[in-house]
Amino acid sequence: MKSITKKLVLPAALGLLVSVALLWANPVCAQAPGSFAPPTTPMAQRNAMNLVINQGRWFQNATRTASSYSGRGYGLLVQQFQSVRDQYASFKSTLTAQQLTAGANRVAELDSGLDIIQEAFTDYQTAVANGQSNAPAFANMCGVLNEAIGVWAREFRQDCRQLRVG
Amino acid sequence: MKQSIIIRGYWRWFPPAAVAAVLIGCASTETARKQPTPRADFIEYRQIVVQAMSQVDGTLRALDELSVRANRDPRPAYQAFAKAVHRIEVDSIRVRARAQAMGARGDAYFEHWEAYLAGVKNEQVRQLAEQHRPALKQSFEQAHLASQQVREVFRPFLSDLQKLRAVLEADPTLARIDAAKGLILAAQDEGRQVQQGLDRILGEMNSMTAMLRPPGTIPKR
Repeated sequence: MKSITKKLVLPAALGLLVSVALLWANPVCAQAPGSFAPPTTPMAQRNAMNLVINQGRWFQNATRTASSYSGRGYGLLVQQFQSVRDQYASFKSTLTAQQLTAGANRVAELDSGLDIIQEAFTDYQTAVANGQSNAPAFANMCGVLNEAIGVWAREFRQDCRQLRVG
Repeated sequence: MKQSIIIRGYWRWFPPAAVAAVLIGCASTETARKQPTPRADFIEYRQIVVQAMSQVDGTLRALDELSVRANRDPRPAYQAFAKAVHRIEVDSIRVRARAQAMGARGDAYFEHWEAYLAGVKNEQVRQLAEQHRPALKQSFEQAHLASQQVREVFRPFLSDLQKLRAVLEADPTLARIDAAKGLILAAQDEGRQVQQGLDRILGEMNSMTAMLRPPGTIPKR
């Protein structure tokens, strides 16, 4: 009985050791110790894509409620928009070299889209500086930001499909 | 006894099977990934330009109506104008983003259009793309130039529309509209420049489409 158990345990242990060693060495499935390169696996891309989409939705929610934050609403929206940008930057770092090359125009357009949406913050400040009342100027800005990020998110999802993200 | 021998037999294969599974699993994360789909960039860009033209036309009509209705009840005309300004603020993002990306990437942007054309299924289109390559490149450069001009004039156009909306928001009366006529005229002038720029882009997109259409093909409606 003991000899039978030994015969089972040794190969199993050896197999486990080899599997771990291969996982450690494989650059696709594992990150080498000390490496800071983000993973470009389909799962990593899918997670990053979903984070961008969720951050976009939270930003849209913020545009609908910001006016109730009496004075702090603008800062909140700026912060939330920066979070969208940050998540999108993280998402881009999960793309493979092939995806970045094939999707270079799309990525450039998404980058530009965020730059253009950001102009709404400057437009609000200009409107107030030119004498418009704060409340309607803020409401205009929130309306534009809410819809604009929705347009951008649709383009983002479409581009992710075409780039075979995840 | 016989059963335990069979079970032991199966377990003997477990370690190598585990190794094989790991290798297959690792390989499948990369080799099974599908190729990115090439995008019909210039076809999409043409569609976006056509939409932008319609939006600018609508905004200029709403602006004209402000002046036309000023001496009666300008409120409905103002509401329509404010709505048009909001629409153009949002809906112009796509065409502006493409123009900005085109400006940032220059020739590299056109190379992607070429890559798409080199990969289309229709062999005639592929041959036409190769045959007309210099002329396509020239059309792209003209469209690129027109896009940058539209970008440059669009910001002041939008800015004047927003200023006008702000001025009239509290009280859209004949007096206020009259006081803002300088701003109205400036916005109309800038809007026409945007329209001309978009017309030029569309003209180049149509030339490219004509160069790539195989003879005898009926255009889609």
